[in-house]
Amino acid sequence: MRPARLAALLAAGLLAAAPEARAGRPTETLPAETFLVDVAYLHSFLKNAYGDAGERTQLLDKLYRYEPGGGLQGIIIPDAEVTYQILLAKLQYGVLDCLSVGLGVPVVLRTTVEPRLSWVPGDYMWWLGRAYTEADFWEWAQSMGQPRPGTWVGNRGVLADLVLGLRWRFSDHLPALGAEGVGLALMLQGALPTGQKKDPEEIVSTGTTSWDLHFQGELGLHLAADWRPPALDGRLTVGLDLFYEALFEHTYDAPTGRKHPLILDLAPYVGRTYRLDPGDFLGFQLTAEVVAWRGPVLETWLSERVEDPDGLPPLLSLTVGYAFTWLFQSDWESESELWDWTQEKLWRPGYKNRLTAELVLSLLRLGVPVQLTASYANLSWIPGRNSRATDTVSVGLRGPFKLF
Amino acid sequence: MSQLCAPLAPRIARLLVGLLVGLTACLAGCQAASEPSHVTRLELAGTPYERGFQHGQAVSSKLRSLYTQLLATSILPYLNRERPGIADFLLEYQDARYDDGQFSYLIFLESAQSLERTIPAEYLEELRGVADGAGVPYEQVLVLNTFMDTLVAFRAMTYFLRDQASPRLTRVSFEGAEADGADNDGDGEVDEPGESAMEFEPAPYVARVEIPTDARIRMCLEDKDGVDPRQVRLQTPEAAYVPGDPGVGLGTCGQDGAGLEITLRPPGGFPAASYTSLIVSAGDATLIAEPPPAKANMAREVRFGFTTRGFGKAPWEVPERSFDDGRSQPGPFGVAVRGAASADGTPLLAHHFSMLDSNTAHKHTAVLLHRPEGGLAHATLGWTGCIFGFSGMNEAGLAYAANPCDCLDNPLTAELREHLILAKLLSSGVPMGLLGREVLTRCTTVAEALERLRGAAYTFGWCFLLADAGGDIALVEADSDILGDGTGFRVLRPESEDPADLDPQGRRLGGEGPDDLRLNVHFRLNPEDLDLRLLNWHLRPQRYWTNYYFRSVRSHHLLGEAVRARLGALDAAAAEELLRLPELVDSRDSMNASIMEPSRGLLRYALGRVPATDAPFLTLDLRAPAGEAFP
Repeated sequence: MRPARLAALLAAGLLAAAPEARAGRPTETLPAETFLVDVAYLHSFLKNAYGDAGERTQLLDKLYRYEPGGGLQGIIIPDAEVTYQILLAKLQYGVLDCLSVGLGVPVVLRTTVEPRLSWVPGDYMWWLGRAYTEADFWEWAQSMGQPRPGTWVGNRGVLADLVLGLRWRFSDHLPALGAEGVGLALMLQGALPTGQKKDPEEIVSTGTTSWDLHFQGELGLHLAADWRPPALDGRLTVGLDLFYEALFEHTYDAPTGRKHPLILDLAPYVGRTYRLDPGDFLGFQLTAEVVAWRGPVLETWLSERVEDPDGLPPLLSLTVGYAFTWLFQSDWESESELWDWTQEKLWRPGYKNRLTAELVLSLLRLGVPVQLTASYANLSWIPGRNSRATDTVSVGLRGPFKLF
Repeated sequence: MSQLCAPLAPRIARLLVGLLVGLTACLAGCQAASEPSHVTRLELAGTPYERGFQHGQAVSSKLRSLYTQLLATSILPYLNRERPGIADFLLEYQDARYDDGQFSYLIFLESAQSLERTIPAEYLEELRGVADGAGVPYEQVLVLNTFMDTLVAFRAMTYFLRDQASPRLTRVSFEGAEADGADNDGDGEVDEPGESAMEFEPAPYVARVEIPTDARIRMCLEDKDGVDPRQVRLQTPEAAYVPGDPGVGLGTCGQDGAGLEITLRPPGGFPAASYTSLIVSAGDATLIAEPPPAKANMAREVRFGFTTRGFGKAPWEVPERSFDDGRSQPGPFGVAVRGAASADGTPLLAHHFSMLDSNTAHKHTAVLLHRPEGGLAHATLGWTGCIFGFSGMNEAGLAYAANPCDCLDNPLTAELREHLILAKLLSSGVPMGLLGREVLTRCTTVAEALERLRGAAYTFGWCFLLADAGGDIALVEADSDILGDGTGFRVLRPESEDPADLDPQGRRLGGEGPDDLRLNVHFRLNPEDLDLRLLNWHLRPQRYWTNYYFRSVRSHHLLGEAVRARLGALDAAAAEELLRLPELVDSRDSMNASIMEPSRGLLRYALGRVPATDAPFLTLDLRAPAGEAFP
């Protein structure tokens, strides 16, 4: 295996990945007939969203509760916190030197949703002799069959949407670009609907579909370019990825109030099912990969098998990135135009600003064909609009192999 | 292998550029979702069934969401909680068929089926049309169209029962007034025995004036279970007080000293030469655990006012305006003017209706313009799937606007009186909103409407205004007249000089002059609406038990001031301003607002928001050709 190809192989982490926690180089493909296995653990935190004016707000709408004809009981403020733990396994294969395909298998290990409800008292109720306290309200609600929503834990070992991907680096056939250190690639990825929809009867649950995870679309088209300035001896690579990702319309069951009769009985007017056509994504990502420490090459079985051992991947490299994503309006369609609006107003057109960093510790120079990765993606530092501020950390390892 | 890729590259690049350009263009054109209108405007023509069908078909989803959100997930579970208490004394409700959360639904359904027997056939046909058009069970549509009448009567019963079990303010005295050298009760005598004390009586004017600023007010609260001092709260315009605060004292009073006397002398005294007012809240010593949350038997908040030395007016000259306590909402209100009271002499009826929004009703409002076969075209303001309205006008210019006036002279009391513990809480009669439809369909003048409405079977206490294109206006106070003593239908015309239409001081009960009438939710013509002893209960007139009484009196006086300031200048614009006055508007349960100009056939309406007057007023021209009435 030539060292340049090996290095390329090990940097090809973007293919068929959940891009949320990954930066890396956008045009890399695998050498022909080579496999790459990549396994990562992702821990995703979600506490806030950005509203229509870009203000930081809660994930869920405030609930105004009224005593029938008696004024405002109070306001329930759900300061929900969602945690996803995901195991992401990827298998990629180089069909041609310029064409790789891959399969991503995301498995949600566990999802936790803490509603963290707080209470703002409403009007004074003369018959009660006070305004409703939070305890008063939930006693009242319980007496009508409405339990207080507690922490929800679910999606234990549940498959998310499988991802298939294909990347074609067409700049291989434009020699003038190659001489200048420029790469261009086209990537197509699609999701198979293997994820699980949220339980409609649960007020704070989530599912494992692409829509629930909101990391990527169900069909994505990427045009990527990167440039490695020849004068810097490969110490810097800058990349640009333009993308459009579509989410398809799906049908969901409407809640019937079986578990939450007061606040989740929608089927009588929404209809037995409703359709959701989520807003697509359009955006770009800028990346810069820097060799932090090239490191020594030890005399090992691996160094003996490559033509240029010094060309093995550096011991430590860092990739940082920034992505801007336009979010299109999501469209709900049910029998109730009013209810559709209550959903659609939470998913109006907006954008998100994502910062990413990935640190790669490559052990190839030391004779071990493995790379360890640690990544961080942040959506909460730079405000967005009508988007959710998910932060994700991940750790993983990857290694190449050939069957023949 | 790489050569395989080469021929495709330029084409893919071109495709991609094209795609991105297209997407960018799409992005620029993609619009954010917009909030749908909360107001449905429908022009309905044909037979009653056909009009109902058109209505139901147009609002199917909104009818179902109104029913679900307002009834199924709000009022019904809320009232289900009352079952144990009611089943304790009305044995019928111990039956198993009221189990499993069916109690409140069956209360409404059984009342609806009782009302169905007296609702004119054409409206039942219309209801069937609504049900068929919307694809919902007729039973649900019937309940949706009758529950308000049942609910107000049910609510009155619960207010009354609370009143029976909670502390009462029985006596008030002003320590220091008995020897202050002033005529405190307006009887022409000074410091006569008893002048400083009074049995508490809810009233629209104050009972004591010229009180020394340093007087101590003594209030006696009595309850068979004892009054809990921890539940007592006093509020003046300046501050709120509880026992233990400076200026607040506790003692005993009443029969055998079993009552709780609470005294108040605010630090620094009361403001000089001022009208001031108190709000008294009190609860008894019991703890009611069911239905939750646990609470004492709380009395309605009672209010009384007085003036301090130097104010210079007799008691009957000082209206009980009370004050804004920061939490109570005024009730619905309306005003009718004509002649010298209106800007151009033409009649005008303005109404701001409030009752029950629950963050739901305002999203389901409807303006229905009916063009019935063999009847007058007319419009009502209401809700999707509801064929009734509490205000409306017809093409001849007859306008009406109704408010519920809490009253125990209602069918539920009649049931109780007849069957005692075997009674059921059944409403009967014709729902007010349908009586409104009836006069709009058949009558062209106030006189005709009164003729039709007199003797009608009322479901509750209702106060309403009528106006016509000829300038006739009238205020009506009606109830079910369960004793059959002929007191259930009182009419007041503004020009009336009949002593029954004047207060003891000779002032008009209806308004400011001969050309205006005001509408609130307390009786003025029929203040002694019912006084009846039944079992161990004493059913008394509304002023003694309804929580709305003091608020309505306050609203009545404030509205009077607002009208007085606009007399002779009241046109549609001034009426809009009046309907929007914050001190008059129920900011929680406002439902719709209307300004009707009978002589022009114009109905201006604002709805779809809370308060309704936050929405712009739009105009419906009842005399416009079919299809052109809505703007």
